[in-house]
Amino acid sequence: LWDGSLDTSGYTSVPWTVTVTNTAPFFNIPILPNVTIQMNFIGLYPVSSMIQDNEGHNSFLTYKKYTATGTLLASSAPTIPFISL
Amino acid sequence: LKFFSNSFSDIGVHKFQLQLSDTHLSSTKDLWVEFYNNPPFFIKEVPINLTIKFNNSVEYELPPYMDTEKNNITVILSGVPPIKDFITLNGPYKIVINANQWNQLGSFRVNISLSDSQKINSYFFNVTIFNTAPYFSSGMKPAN
Repeated sequence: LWDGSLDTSGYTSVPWTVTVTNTAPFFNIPILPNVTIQMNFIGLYPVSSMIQDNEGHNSFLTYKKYTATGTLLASSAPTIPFISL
Repeated sequence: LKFFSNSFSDIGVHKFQLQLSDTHLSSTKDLWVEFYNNPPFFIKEVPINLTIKFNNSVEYELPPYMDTEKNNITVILSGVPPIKDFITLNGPYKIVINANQWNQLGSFRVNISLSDSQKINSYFFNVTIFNTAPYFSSGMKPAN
C-alpha cells in the first residue's frame, strides 16, 4: 500500500542476471564438397559464401592437414603443400 | 582457398581440417581434396598394322601426342627380341623399322608407351615383315 509520498527511507536491490552469449563461426553446409584438382592447374575453392557468424564477427580461417587415418601432418600454411588462402 | 601443385608426390587424396575462429570460439570441418594426374596420350590413333618389306628400312612418323598437365613425355618402345633389334626410336617422334635378319620375318606385336613418369598409356600395333621368293624377271630364252 503506498500513500503517494516519496519514500526516501531506503531501497531494495533486485538481483538481475545478464547473460551475454557468443557462438563460434561455422560452415553453413553440413558437409564441405570434395575438391578435385588437376596437377599443374590452379584450383579455387570459394569458402567465403559457406562461412557464417551469427554475431557478425570477422571469421578467421586456418587449416590443418591430416593423413587419411587421422594423423596430423602439418598445421600451418607454409608447411602444407599446395594449399593457400 | 587456392590449390596448386606441380609435384607428383602430391597426387592422391588429402584430408584437411578447416578451422573457423572469431578469436574466442572456433569450429572445424573436414575437407577432402583429390589431386590427380592424367597419362599422356596420342591425339590420333596409332595405326594397327604396318607391313614392311624385308631388307627395307622404313621410317614411320608417330601420331601427335600430348599431356594435359603439360608434363614431360617419354616415348618407350618395347618388345622382346627380335623386335627390339629392328624397331628403334629415332628421336621422340619417329620409329625406324629395318628388318634384315631371317628371324625378323613374320608378324610381331609391338608396344609403344607414353609416360609422364607418373602415369603411362600403352598402345599396341602389329608389324609384319615379309619377303618374296626370287623370280625370273623375264621369260626364258634359248641358250646358244
